[in-house]
Amino acid sequence: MADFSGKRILLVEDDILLSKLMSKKLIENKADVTLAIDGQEAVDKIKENPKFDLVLLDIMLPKMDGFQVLENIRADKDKKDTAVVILSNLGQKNDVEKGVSLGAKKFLVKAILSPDEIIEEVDAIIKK
Amino acid sequence: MLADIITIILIAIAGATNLALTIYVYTRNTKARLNRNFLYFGGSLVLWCLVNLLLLVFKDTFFIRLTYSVGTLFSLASIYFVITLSGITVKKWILRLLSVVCFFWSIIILFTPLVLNQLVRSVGFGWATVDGPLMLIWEIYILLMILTSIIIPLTVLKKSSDIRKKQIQYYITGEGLFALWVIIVFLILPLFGINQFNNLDSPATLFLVGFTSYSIVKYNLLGIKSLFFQALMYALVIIGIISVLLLLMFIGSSLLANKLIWPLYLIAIIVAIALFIIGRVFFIEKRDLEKTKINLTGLLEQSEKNRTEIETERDRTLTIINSFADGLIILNEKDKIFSINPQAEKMLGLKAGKLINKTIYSMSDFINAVPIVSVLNDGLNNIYNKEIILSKDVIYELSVIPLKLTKKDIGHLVVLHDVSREKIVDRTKSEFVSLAAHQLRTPLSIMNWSMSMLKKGDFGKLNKDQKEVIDRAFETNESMVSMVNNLLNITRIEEGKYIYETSLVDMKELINSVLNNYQHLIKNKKIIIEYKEPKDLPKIQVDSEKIKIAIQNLIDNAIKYSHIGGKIIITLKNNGKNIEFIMQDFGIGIPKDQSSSIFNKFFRSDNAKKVDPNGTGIGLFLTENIINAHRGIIWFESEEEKGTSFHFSLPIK
Repeated sequence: MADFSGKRILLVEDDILLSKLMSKKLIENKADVTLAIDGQEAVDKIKENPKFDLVLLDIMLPKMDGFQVLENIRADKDKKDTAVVILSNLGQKNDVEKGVSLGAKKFLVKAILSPDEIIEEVDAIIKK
Repeated sequence: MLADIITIILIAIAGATNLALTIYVYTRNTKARLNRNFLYFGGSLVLWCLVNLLLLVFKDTFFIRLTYSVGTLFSLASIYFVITLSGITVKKWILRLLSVVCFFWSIIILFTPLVLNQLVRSVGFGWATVDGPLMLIWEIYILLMILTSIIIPLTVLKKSSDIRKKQIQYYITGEGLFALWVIIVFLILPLFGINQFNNLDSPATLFLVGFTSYSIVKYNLLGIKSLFFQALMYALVIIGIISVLLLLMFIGSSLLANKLIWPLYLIAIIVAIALFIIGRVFFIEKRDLEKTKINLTGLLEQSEKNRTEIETERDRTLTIINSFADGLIILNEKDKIFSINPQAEKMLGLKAGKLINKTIYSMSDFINAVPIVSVLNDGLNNIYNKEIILSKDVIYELSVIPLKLTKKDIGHLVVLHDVSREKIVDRTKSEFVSLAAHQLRTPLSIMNWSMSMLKKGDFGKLNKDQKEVIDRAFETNESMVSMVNNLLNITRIEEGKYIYETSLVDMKELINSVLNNYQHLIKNKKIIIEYKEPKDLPKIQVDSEKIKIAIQNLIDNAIKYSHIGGKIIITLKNNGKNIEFIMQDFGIGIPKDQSSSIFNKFFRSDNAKKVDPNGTGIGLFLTENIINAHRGIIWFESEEEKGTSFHFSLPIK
């Protein structure tokens, strides 16, 4: 079990069930979770709220894709150093490279990892 | 009287031949120092012959002094000639001193009785001289001069080049024959009471002039021995003919014969040598000229043929350049534009006519060439397959190849390869794969996450039956995930995207980490794993992720096709130049008639289909591609119902 107490995490995921499962896991680990179901909502939430400790970001999203969200974050003066972990089902070399070049800390492929494994990865990044 | 006439004839022949040779050699190359000095050398000998002739006619003290005086001048000319012939440098003041001393002697001899007092008519043939007080000193002087003119060329003989060596050898031979002749007429013949030939020293100068002129004119000299032998044979033949004639003419009159035979021999020898040398110098040279002409004509024909060949070759190269599918710009050694092929003109909208012999920068007048100019302007080194994007759908790859002709730089070749079509296809494929990955993986992730959390009891504890159902569903989903991963990998291989990122990898660690992931499956099937690894194993340069996939595929198969409770032997071997990996199972094996198709994409053997109907037939195809891309080899040995062992080896360096 990880301990995310006091950590504010934004989970950007358009699939309701996946979003529900992941947020359940995060909350179990005492994180303060905010949800967004599309790219636009994610950008708005980031703008409205104080800087998040971590953004878990899907790529294939309605309205605005995850890369655009990332670009938006990097363009925001106050929020540009927000830690972002990409959680997507893409995973081709060029996708990974693009994510990393936009400053993502990690590129995780959903289908390959179980929620527990994702929590471990997130824990490692938050501890850093 | 008879001896005088014979002597006059001989001197006249030698003098005339000397004159002809001297002028001939001089006129062949009036600017060469050697030829110029030969003019003095030969000229002084001609003069010597002439004054000897005058002496014989007038028999006067002045003329005998004149012969001594000219002889002295000749010794100086010899020294000058020998210095040039030997190629040595002598300080100017020494030469000046020598000249002054020589002229001094000549004048003393000619106008004072100090060296030669007077000529006295002697009884019979010849004459006697009354020496002056300086005669001995002059004799020593002249001996030293002659010795010097022999010693100088001898000292440089060994160090000289082949041609010069031969020239010196000829000169020394001439000197030697001259000396031999003088010894014969002055020393040997008088011993036999024959004194009438004392004046025959000047004709012998022919040896000197002849051999020396020959050596100057001819560079492709024959060996000195063969030439000497030829001269001797020539002389002997003529002597022989004359002897026979004399025998016929004077048979019965031995006295007359005795008186005539010697001078006639001498005439014969001088004439033979004169003829021989004239023949060598003039006629053989003419023959050589003829030969040279023939050779030259042959050479001309050959070079004409070569020229045609080169032109054909050039035309062929030009045709290749002009019809090449890639755009080519050739830069000369100063990196100015030498040639632009039509394809390059078309690709960049250039006009070759306006750019030939201009700098690369001048291409910027053409708007499409600007991106290329800006790359080339940063230096022509290390440009290889550099992507140049002119517009969204026009993409070129730019390479610059240095042109080297046996280490000498002769310019650069700028190659423009149109990759627009490939890039568009690539982009479309990539978009498709991304979409497929997303569409296929999203439902799999939902199942993966849901079942994983259900299994772990996140939504309440499951009873035994529920857990069994979820476990089975989870495992099936996992195999679906790996199948999709394989499918995506295969698409990437085919679109050339399976880029290998290599690093130094410890194969032992890599295999252990793969085996760890399979503990669960191994336990379920009660498989016994035997793992043999060597003590020393160097790290190797591989793409660890890809090699991991290859090993995963092999162990997947080994487990899948082993019987329950079977054994798998994994061996890692260091073969020196490569590392060999062996995965041996004792399972169902591969049917012999299907073994050749085992690495084919989507191929599955009949017995494998029975054991696992859901396999994709991708694993081994992918594995072979991965191993091949690492310059490794993969093979297998198998027997149906006995088992299979897969081997692959990867180069250590």
